[in-house]
Amino acid sequence: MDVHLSWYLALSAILFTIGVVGVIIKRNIISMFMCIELMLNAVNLTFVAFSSYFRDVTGQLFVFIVMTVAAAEAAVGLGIIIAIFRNRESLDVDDANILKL
Amino acid sequence: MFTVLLFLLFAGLAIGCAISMVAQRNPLYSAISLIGVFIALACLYVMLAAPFIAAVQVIVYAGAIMVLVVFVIMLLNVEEEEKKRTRLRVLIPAAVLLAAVLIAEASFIFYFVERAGQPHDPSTSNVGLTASIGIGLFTQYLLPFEITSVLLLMAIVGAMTLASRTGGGFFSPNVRVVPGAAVLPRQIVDPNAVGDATPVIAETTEEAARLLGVDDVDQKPDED
Amino acid sequence: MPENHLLRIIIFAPLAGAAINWLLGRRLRSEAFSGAVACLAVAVSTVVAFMLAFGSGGALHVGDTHSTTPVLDHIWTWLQVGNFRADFGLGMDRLSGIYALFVTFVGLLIHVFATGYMRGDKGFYRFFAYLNLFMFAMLTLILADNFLLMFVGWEGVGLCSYLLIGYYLDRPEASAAAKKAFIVNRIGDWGVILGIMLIFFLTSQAGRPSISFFDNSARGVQSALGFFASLPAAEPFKLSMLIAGGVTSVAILLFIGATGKSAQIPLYVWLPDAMAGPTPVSALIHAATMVTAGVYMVVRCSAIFTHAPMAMFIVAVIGAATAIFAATIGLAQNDIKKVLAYSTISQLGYMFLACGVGAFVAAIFHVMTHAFFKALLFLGSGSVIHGMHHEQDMRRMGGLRKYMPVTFATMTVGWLAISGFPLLSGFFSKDEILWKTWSATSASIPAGYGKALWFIGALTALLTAIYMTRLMVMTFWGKERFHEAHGGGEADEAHAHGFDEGLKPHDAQHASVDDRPHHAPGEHVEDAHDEHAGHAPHESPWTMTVPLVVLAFLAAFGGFIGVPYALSGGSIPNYFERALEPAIAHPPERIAEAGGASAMEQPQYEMLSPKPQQVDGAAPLSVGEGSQGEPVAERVPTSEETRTELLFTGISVLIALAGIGIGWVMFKTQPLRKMPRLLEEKYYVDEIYDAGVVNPIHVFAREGLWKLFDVSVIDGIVNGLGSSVRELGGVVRYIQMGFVRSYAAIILLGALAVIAYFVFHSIKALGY
Repeated sequence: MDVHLSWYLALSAILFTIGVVGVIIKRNIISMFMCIELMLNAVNLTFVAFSSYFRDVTGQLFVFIVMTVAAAEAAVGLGIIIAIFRNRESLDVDDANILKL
Repeated sequence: MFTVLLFLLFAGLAIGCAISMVAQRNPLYSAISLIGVFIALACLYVMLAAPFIAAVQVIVYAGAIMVLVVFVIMLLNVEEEEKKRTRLRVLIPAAVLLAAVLIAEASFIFYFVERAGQPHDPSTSNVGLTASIGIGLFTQYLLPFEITSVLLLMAIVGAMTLASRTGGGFFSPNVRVVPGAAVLPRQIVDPNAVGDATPVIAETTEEAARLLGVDDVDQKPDED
Repeated sequence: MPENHLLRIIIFAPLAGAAINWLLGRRLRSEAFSGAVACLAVAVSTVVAFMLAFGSGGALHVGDTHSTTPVLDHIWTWLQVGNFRADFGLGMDRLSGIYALFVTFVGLLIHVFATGYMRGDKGFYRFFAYLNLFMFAMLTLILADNFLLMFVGWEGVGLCSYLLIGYYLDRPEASAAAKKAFIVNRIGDWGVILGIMLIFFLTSQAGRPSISFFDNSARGVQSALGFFASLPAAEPFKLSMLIAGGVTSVAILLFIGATGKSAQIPLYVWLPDAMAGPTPVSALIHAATMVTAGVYMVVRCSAIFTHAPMAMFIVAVIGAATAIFAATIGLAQNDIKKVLAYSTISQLGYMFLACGVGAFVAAIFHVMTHAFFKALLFLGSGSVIHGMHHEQDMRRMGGLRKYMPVTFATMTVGWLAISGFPLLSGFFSKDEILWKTWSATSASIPAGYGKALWFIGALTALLTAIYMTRLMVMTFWGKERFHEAHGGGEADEAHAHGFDEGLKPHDAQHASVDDRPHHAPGEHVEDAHDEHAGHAPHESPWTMTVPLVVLAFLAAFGGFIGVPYALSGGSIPNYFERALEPAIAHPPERIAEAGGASAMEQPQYEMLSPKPQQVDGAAPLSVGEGSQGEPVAERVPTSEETRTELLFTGISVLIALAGIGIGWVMFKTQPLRKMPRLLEEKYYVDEIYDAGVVNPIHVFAREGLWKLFDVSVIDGIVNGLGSSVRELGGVVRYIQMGFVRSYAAIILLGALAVIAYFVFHSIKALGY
């Protein structure tokens, strides 16, 4: 009995779903951010799984790029979070709601 | 057989830490859980014969990004999220529903992939070796590589801009803060107040205006 | 077809008068101007009507006893849709010519009277504008050449009746009475409209769609009445024919309208209340003209009715029932105008009784004489009321003949005329109706019913004489009760008090400028007293007494144009019958079986061919043969019939004299004799209608339609739409509230939709 590709895909989907639920439910900005990271990692897992099972290096290169971008995004995003915190003294994402009709 | 067991172990670890991350109220515990997820994923990458990616995962994600996150958490002194939620209660069941739909849709895909049969044995692949990645990165995918480096440059510049104290950035340290509302830098109303960093905390805009010494504030306070 | 454009002057002159009074009279506020304009307008109508009726080629065809060619005037084509054609066109033939003559003439007299009666009233111009508008509508009704225009006039007189009854704007009972009149009329109008529609339907079925009265080949119009006249057989005498959708249905529907307009059972209840209007209005509208519109319509449609014996029977029965019913109520009323109102209803019953037995000419004759003496009585009562400072309760009058001699004299003529005193006008017309009822051989009256109807008519004549005598006795003879302060009734304490101080009633001596003719009971009218205290009596204004005298003359001698053959032995021709007879259809004869039981079979027209309404100057049919064998318009009765008729004439005279005698004996000595409560309360009919019809409708409207349907359903739907939109907006609003989390959720939703699309697409592509 071998591990099938679809198992990896299922795991990835579950992790992605958990990340999505966390993004919607969580009220702390940093927690939201971490859930986004989780989503990105789930996608990474899919890429690597496909790359391994189909003997194609493109998947892992994609992961490489994704990680780089995630790092850059983390830096800038956290900078923004700090700026917002300085502004509003609150890390509740519901407090940042003036971008509306 | 052995691989199955390992897979289940690492998968369970990943899922468990992920759920823990979402369920925890303290963001620091969430961060620790996320690190657990990363470690588990790295182990899975190893199982998939992608050692380079596994190493990069641990170094970059767990080692750099999570450190940065924990650093920010500590800096901002983030407290536990309060238990009672007053706004947008509708999102909780909505999120659960959407998640169920997502799982349902994904399981369609799995079914077909399952039927398609096993293409290759992952443990014998050689595409995950560092050399292969290096070859791919510097020959076929050179352009994305270079662009990514430019992206990193942009990120650095952006982060520095955000963090700079004087000149750029919208928020100088002399601001008075009013939670949930836009802020007037004190030096707009009082040119002699440069350098005064006393925070002002008020419940309403009127109170903030009074504390700031601004005469008439005609900003609409945020409602709902 | 002679077209005479002068005909339109008859109706447009009063309309112009109304317009001038409304627009200019309001500015000028001059009583002389308004009165002069109004009277002049009606005078013009009168003159033109006489010209067109009696002139050469005129409507009455004075020398010619057979021709029924009408004088037409087509003003413009109003509606022409497919087969349906209704013109704004006028036509004066024998029937409408006679009507136009007395309507305009009596109307003129009443206008003149009103200029004196309404002096000092602030709405003088308005009154005369409405009065002229009424004349316009009435003349349109009479002179219309098709059903639809007649109906326009019908509605117009209803409207003007409403305006004039409710003329006193500050009296709520006047406006309530006006509303009642209009609404009850409207119930009748339902019948008229359906009748007209059914006429059009029946004529269309036969291939001759029309609602016109006259043929006008120059304009391509055929006569609907001609179609009905040409029907070979009358409908069977069965109750089921009423709802069968044939000629009988048409007749009964039109009659329903007539009960509304002419105040028969069950729709008479508006007429007594309508006495709340000024007395000239009561005289003109509710005695002489508007209430006879129903009779006009029935007689105009004689071709229809003669083919519907069941309908005619019902007409006769209701007419007789109304006559006696109203007479019994009139016996117990204390308001002088109410007595006359019920008397009007009773006399209208006579007219319908005449129509029902087929004596259409007698009905119209009675309409004319009734116009004379009823207008006279109403105007005289107006004079009494005016002289009594608007006291209307007879219990507070008495002995007025010393104070108002002219009024007394003229009202005596009217009293005797209506009672049927020999040789006055009422005698001739009423006697003819009674005789025709007794001797009815029409198929519409089963054998034996004629006698029963005669008996009811005779009893009514007796009651008429009694209550009219009561009215005269209570008013003009006996103790002068106005000196005492009586309680009860509608007596106005202020007035009684005034008379205590020695002010006496007078015969409309001078116009009391400040004496407003309307005031709330109990209101102390001081200026009237001051006025009279300082004035010496002088000559009454001619505006009020001259019309009374003229009407008295007509009431006395107007009957001589219709002297029946039996009475005069042929020496005095019956001008009236000659004038009108050719234009009226005859009902078929009743078939008597050998066994003696009256047959209800379908009467055949071979026995006595009924003369259809003459149209288009066609070859005249002879009614009977004269002694020389030439056709004469008058049917000469046999000598046996003449003897019987003379016998009944004698009976009528006896009834009249007996009634006067009984009334004199009962009321001369005891004028305040109390009448039975049931009669005084009008058999509680108003209360029954209120409880049975009006209140349930009110309750239904208020509780059911308003509170239940309007508030719950309609408002519910409208408000529900609004609130549902608001709720929807409240829900949709969440899409963009500024919360990042909800944005994320929506993005997820969108992404799931896209994924779902691809999933299903690939499922299909893979053949699952």
